[in-house]
Amino acid sequence: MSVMTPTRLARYMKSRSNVIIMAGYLCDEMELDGKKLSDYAAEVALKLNAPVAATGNAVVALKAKGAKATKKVAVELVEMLRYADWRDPIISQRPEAVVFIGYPKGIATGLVVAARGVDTVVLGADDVSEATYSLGDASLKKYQQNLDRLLKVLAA
Amino acid sequence: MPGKSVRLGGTEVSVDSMVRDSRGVADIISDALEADFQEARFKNFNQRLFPFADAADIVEWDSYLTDRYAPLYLNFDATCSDCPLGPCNLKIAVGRCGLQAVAYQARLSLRRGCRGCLSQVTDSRETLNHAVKVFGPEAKVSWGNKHDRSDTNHISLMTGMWPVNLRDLQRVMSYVEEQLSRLFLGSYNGLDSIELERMSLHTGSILLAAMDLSELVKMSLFGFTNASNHELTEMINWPPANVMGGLGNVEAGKPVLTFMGDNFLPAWYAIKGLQEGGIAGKVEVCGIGSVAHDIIRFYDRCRVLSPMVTGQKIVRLGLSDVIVASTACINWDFLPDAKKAGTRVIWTSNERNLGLPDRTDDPVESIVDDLAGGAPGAWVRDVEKAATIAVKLIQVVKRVKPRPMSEEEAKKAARKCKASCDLCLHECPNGLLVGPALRKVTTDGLKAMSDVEDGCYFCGRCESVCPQKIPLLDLITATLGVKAPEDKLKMRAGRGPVPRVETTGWAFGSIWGNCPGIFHIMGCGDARHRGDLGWLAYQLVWRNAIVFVVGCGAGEVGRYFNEKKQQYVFEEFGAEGQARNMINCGGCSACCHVADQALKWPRSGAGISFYANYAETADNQHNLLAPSLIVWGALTDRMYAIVAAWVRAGMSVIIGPNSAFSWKRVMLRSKWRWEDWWTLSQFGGRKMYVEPAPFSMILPAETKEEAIALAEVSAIRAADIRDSRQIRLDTYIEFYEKFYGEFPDDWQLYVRSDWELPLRYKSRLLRLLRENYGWEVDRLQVKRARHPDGRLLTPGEFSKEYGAMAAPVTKLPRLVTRNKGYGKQEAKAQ
Repeated sequence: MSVMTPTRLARYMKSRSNVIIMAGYLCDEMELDGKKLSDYAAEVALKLNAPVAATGNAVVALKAKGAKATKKVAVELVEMLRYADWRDPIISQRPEAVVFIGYPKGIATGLVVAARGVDTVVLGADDVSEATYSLGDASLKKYQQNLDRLLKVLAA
Repeated sequence: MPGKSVRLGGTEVSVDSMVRDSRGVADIISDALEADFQEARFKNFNQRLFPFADAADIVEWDSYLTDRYAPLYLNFDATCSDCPLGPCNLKIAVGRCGLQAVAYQARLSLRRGCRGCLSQVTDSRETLNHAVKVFGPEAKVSWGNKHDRSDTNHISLMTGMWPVNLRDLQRVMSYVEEQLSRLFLGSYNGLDSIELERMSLHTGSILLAAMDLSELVKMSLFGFTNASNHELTEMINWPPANVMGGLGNVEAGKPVLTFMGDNFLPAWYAIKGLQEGGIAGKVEVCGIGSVAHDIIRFYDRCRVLSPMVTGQKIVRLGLSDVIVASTACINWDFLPDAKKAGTRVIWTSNERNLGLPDRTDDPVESIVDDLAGGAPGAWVRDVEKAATIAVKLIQVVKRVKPRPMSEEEAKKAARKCKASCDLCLHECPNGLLVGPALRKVTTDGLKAMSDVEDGCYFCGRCESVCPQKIPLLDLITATLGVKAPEDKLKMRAGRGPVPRVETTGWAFGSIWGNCPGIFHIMGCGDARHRGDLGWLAYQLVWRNAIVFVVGCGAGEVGRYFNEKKQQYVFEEFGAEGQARNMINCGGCSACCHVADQALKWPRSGAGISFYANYAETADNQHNLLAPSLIVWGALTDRMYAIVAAWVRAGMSVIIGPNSAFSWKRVMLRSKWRWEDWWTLSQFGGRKMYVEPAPFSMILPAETKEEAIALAEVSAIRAADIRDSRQIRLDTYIEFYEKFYGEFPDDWQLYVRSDWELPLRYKSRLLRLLRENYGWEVDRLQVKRARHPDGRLLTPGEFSKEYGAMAAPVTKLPRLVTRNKGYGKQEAKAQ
């Protein structure tokens, strides 16, 4: 829906009480100036004190960084949002917002389109117009700056 | 002929009572009844047959699938322009025709399935027409000596016919084309999303019938390999693993004649010409796409180069002197690349041109002279003539081969890349990290682009958005050139069908033994990592699974090389239908053999005849022993229809990696909603709550590790006996432990008794059942189990109230027995 600055996005995420993070395969495969994307994902999760549904192979690295991560399949979690009563044990009640990190634009778009009745936030290097909020198109260099800024505000 | 009846044992069965309208099909149905139906099933079940089935005829089964696994759309097109009343923005309001947004997604899903069928149906029609022209309509067709009337195939499943000659196949072809026309129309005027999705499943069945037809003609009249004409004892090493492929196996110094696309006929005539002329050994015959896998079924010296999706890179590389091409599963404009490489093109398809002059009626010599003299190509719509031209041309053509970009040129080009840009990253449909790799070329040279080349579709979007005009496609081609000498594969040619006598043989091992399941592996190439398909196949077959590969995916699997054993995967494992074997069925049209063998189980295990009997066959297959399919790589429209076919037949499909998320629709249901998971006892119709098995019919995976674990859990069925449940659970947990260092979060949902806990994990699992899930456990025994509704039950109570171990079950109320004496014990239990 709209591109948000990292500062506003961080404030928005902090204002939600029941957030779940979905972390995809790029967490393992993408490096930003020597720092793994999984490190960023874990830091976001820890700062928000949010559970992580780690998809692809991301769970190992996220757990190693101390995040409360469980191995999940991406579409499985999104499908659960079809029902009014939330049952997936990863989180006790239906989330208010789902934060996606570690997905290329094509996958992130597919997932946010299918996610119903929640705010969706994409922390990627692309503008995902189907999401409620995303960080917007950026080079990897700029993307790293966005994530650093986001973490700073989350920590404040 | 209305009023016809058939005697089955002591029962007189009226054909009119079996079908809606027997006119025109009475002979077909009475023939099927006499050949394959059993009296007992008539006495006990309400049997209804649907010869030449429409989509709506299979609605009772399709409804179960679409209700249980309601379609979920992963991409959404909001604007419909299907009619002159539009365009309508369906996000704002219902369309002028009453179309809702979700129904429009279902229309697009159906349309994609239809598109997927089209190229195969066109190819099957062309093959049939040509065969009739050459051999006459009375020419016999046969599945082979080992196939009898009880061998399931999609033609019989959908029409009720058992075709014996080309005239029969003409009737089948008319049915296929009629169905496809109706489905296409439905994709423009349908308004009900679920009805449209049911039609979408029908595209799959129609596709498989067209593939069956094509295979019957190829094996019966063109000498394609057919395992059904060989002894079972040969199958362990038949056909031999002797097909050498890949760019690295193309012999330097010989002229290269490459066939590309779907149509095998030009290759069949050309190879015959080369052999008759005594020059076959002097020419390297290569294949790209499905045709490569057809050719090796009659000429094992053909070099399988790549799937169609990857083919364009090879054309640009300039390996081939002459390319003979036809329509394929995907279309790309390869003529500019061929021209650049000096490769001469002979295009043979009737339905479209590439922009080449139509030379169909010109004399062969004049076409050869023109092409040899430098003309880039010719359109020749006569396959025999095209073959003759190719054979003559390959002996005289001379060309200046293109010089790929050098390391220095690559470094120079890469220096222009700006770290502040990365537009290429946003554009890549395969999610490849193009920019970072390109920037590494400046220091590491072309090898830095290796991963990008591996997963590149050659779509050119990265190049088109690059503000620095960096020739990315040339860089990728040069990288392929550097890697070419190491690009090698070794495989068996496809063996064609798998007769029932062979599928029955593995029943014991796959149900009571230590076989973790039956798996089908397909792929059109270009997953992010090229080695994924081979890895998937190896991991499964090595763990004792029965693995089937087919189409271009089989060639990709053939690249897997075990360094320790110094063997390719096809050399390492046998090719018999048994555990720890890997069977290659053939080219794309041979997908039908893979599906058909899976559907033989209801006939073998439960005596269910398949003739015009789709719902009962699929229901039984889905409940008892359904293989899982993994589709990996670029997902073409044809794959969309193939997946529909698998789903309709009750088999779960795992798709991936990246393009799976723009697949349009997936089908699954939350496994945590226990009350949604039930089945009916065939004895009395009791509703039984069961495990969520399988919890998905189409599910996307991001990585190969995720895919293989999902394929394993999808092999679990509610009616599993203890042994098969134990080995499937064991392998599922093993995959999770190995890849993720933890147990899956749903393993406990599949436990019905302590007997089926995998031995190596048993004490850990029992502890978790006690500590995390509230079960009562005493040492190695479950004392009371926790039902999903919260009750604690004794093992005896639990087995009655959860699961359907080894029970005859159905999803269809019609298939609950009508004989009150049948299954007395079950009735008592109620």
